[in-house]
Amino acid sequence: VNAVRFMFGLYLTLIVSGIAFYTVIGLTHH
Amino acid sequence: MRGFLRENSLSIFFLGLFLAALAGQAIAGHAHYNQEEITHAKLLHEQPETLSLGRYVVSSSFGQAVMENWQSEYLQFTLMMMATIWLLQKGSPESKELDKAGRESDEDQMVGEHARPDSPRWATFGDWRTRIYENSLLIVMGAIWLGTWFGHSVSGWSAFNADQIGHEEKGVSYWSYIGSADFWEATLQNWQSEFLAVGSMAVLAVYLRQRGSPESKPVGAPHSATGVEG
Repeated sequence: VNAVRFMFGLYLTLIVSGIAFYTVIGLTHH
Repeated sequence: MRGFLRENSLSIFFLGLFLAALAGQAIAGHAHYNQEEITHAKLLHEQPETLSLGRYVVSSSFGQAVMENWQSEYLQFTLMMMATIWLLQKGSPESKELDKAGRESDEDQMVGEHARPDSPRWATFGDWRTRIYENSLLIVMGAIWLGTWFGHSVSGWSAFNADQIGHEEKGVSYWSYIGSADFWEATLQNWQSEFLAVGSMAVLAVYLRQRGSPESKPVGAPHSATGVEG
């Protein structure tokens, strides 16, 4: 893959998974 | 490899700083959490329920601390992007030229029939796809802001209720947490600092310079030069 696209995907994946992770944790009352 | 590092050094640098600061936050936050728990348990003559570092990073307490700061940063960028479409600051490199306020013409924006051969494909269509693409940065940054704010609200709610139960009080509903002083203090203390930083950056950059930075006007640009003309 193109290196710049890789960075784009890496950042988006990091942000989206961070949000999803802590939203699920909040909703499941950990 | 050298080319990759050089061409992406800005995003790699900030990614590295982010990961290091997040790890530091986890270590310090874990120590603080356990200190509080020990003090709390002592007062109540109970056994402290301390957490391992691994358990702490998947706690709503850590999640709240992370999401709370993310949301305000994304709000800052989203608002700045939206405000600078129409609002101006004479002399600021953060502002557009004074006669460019608004969404600008298709020609200026190179969309539809004004697209160039190397324009992104969705800029060339001139239909609903172009309408989406021309707002895609704002849509994604805004969605991240709303997502992180929601994440902050649910992890804050969960942490708040864990605290309530620790004090032998009843937990509250999600909607009453959304109206609580706890949630709004956390939200507004982050917002106020972002708004001040953005506003001051726009104004300070009228008279001050940083040679070589795209955040600044060129050193010799006149104070009256606004936007890219500076």
